[in-house]
Amino acid sequence: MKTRIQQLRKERRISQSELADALSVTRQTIISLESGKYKASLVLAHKIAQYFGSVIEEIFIFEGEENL
Amino acid sequence: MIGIFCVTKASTDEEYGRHLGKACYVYAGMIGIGVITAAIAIVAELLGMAGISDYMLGIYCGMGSGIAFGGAVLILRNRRLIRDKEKLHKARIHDSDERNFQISNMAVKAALAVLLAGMYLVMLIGGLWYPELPKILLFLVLLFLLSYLAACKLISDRI
Repeated sequence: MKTRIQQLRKERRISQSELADALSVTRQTIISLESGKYKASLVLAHKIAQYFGSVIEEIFIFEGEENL
Repeated sequence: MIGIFCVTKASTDEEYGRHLGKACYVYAGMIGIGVITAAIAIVAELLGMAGISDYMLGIYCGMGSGIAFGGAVLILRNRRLIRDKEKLHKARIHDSDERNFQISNMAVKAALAVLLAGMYLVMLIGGLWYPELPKILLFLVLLFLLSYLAACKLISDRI
């Protein structure tokens, strides 16, 4: 799974710390999400989508067997 | 560092503060257990109970005072966190972070595998000299498996 978090964050000129504060997670979680090492829960994915005013599918790109 | 039990679902600092306040009762219980453990050793020493070595009394005393001291330190830590709003916020974010939950769960699984392997080795080697050892360790493994099954049943009923 790939994410567009870093791209969207940079477009909006938001730091990892600011995003982490807004989502009530640690900065390390944002780093791991951006690098694809950690997969967000449905609730966190929803919060991220809400934060960027988008939908989950626009931010999280599911690949291969992750799709039906 | 991520603590095994340092996880919370508190969504606000106030809620987390209340959670820490409640945890102080658990730590007070720890102090009680520690004091009782040390008291057993001291009473046994005073009564001069036969068959109990000074070494074991020392172990009980040390274990008891260690548990009590740990409980006291954790109470002081929680009280300090509750008073300092900035530190309370940081601690809440750390303890409610879902990635930290996952790390903790995975680490517990890994540590459990090491523990079980270690117990098996101790049973295998130690059992040659101490025949009671395999019985005790098998009882502990059985206790773990039964607790696991009971916890699975209880949790599956809830979610």
